[in-house]
Amino acid sequence: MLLEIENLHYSTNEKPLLSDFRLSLEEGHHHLLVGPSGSGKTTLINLICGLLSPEKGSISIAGHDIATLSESGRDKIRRENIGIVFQTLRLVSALDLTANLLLAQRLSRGKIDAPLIGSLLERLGIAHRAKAQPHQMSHGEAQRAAIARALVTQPQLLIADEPTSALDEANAKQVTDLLLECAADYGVTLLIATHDDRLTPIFSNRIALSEHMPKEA
Amino acid sequence: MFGLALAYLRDRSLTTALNILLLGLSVAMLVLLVQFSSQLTSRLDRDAEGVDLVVGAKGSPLQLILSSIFHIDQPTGNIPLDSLNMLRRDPAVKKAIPLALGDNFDGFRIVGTDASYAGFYGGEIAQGKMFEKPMDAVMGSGVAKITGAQLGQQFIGSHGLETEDEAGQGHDHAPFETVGILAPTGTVVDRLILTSVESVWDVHGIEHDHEGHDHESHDDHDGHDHDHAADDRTLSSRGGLEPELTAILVSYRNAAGAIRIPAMINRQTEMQAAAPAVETARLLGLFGAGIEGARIFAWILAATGGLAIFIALLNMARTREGDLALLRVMGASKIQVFGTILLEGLITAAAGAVLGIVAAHTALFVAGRSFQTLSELGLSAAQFLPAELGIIAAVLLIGGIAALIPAARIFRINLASTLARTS
Repeated sequence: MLLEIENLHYSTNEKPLLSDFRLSLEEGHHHLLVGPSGSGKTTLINLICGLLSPEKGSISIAGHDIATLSESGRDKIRRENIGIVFQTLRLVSALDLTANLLLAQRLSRGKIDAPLIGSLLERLGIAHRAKAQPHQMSHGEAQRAAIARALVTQPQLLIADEPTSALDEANAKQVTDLLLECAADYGVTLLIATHDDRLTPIFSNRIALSEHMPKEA
Repeated sequence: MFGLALAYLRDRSLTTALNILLLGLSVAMLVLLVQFSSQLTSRLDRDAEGVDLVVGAKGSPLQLILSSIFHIDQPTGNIPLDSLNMLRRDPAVKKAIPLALGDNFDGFRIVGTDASYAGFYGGEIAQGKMFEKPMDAVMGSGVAKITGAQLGQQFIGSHGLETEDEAGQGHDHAPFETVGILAPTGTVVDRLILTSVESVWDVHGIEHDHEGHDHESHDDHDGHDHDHAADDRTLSSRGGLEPELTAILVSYRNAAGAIRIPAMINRQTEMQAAAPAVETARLLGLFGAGIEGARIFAWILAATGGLAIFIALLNMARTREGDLALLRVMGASKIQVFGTILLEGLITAAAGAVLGIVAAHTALFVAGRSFQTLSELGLSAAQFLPAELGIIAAVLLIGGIAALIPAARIFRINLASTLARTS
């Protein structure tokens, strides 16, 4: 099991947001995490990524319960297993695309895999933007660059938080297709949090968060 | 992370350049002050080493020291030739070296003296021989290098001690001949042309008893108004000019000389005695107040540079919280992100330090070539002082401290809430 959450409790402002939450994610089984704003999608992602600590319960990633680990321990599990794509925060602003990917590899793996960077850029159709600064890219290019940044570390789990919400129809479809294709090509499992209805028909596995009670769809 | 720090600095290149410039200015000023005061002090000490007393015409004692030891001012006047014998007869005097000044060649002073003067500064003949007869001249190493003088070459001295256009009247009737070139000594001798006292008298048409026979006065000597010491000589009983000296450098045989001789000269003769150690200390004291004021100003400038780095990095840390959070998500540890911001401060400070040191040494080089006084002081642009390492360390410390608080913000960033705000 790639991700296993048991009996997870988390509150914000003393109001329970996640209560006795459970989730299992097998390798290769992509899931969509859906729910309205404030339903706890981003909080759940932060808990899975080790950016927040649960009040109770366990979060096991590739066999490691990150709920019991220190901050640096959680950093290590995240670094080695998880790639994250955000809605707008895509690349380190001062570095060009290639430098971003090199930095991501160095931070995650401690070594460089230039052929992988080249093949990812080709695969995502942004090889011609390899030396572009983030502010020189279009929204669609930047989001594809963010996917490259997340995949270049060869994670087992790729978590995307609203990856298509800021994109137009054509770019949203292109990014979704690329996410699925790359996941298949590089053996990555996807967990996508979104309230973008355009993605719902594409994914058969859905986790719906509402009234603090998750429902498997 | 070094590359990332450089990338962030490049990303706000104008701010970075201004901060580097600000620090560079303060470093350049500090290095110039350190270089100037250090080189000036050591040069003055070196040039005055072994000279216990300078005897010359009454006037400013500092002027007497500057003109007779450092050769950077006009002489105070002339003194009788007898005074040399009087001092040499004194049992407390170990050595008394005569000086007769008045002319220059291409801006380099021609000093009439005796053969022991060069030895006083450790000067040894590198080519040729020491001067023996009138109009023989020995070049200091610096003079020979700059003028390209060769052994056997003749040259004509000009009136006055500097190469001012209006002072450029040549002694065509009495050319000097280069008979020797000294090895470099690192002292004032390198920039002097040495000859016998008799040569100076001959050039100016002064009758004197020379090696057992009288020289005739040079009738063709033009009698215009000279601004140098050799022309202030008194008329002899025969109507000619009396042979005189400009100054005498004295070293004592024992401590008793230091007590008795200056008092005797100042009270019982028309001459004055000035101690180089006292006048040098007074000169450095005069410079010292100005140097200290400039030094304080330079450190304030350096602190301002540190403040500018602090503000720039603090703004950066605020506006790029999202970037910093992304770096953490990408796998950078808190220490790595902290180190990146700290490196930005240190790189800025290091660049400022390098710029300042290069600028200061370039300024020394240019100033040495452009200003004759600085050139005569022998200011060297190629000399690096340990104090400069201290300045670099202090500037790096300023850069590090300035970056510390902005960098420490990474430990207070809540990743989840920062990402919620920025992603």
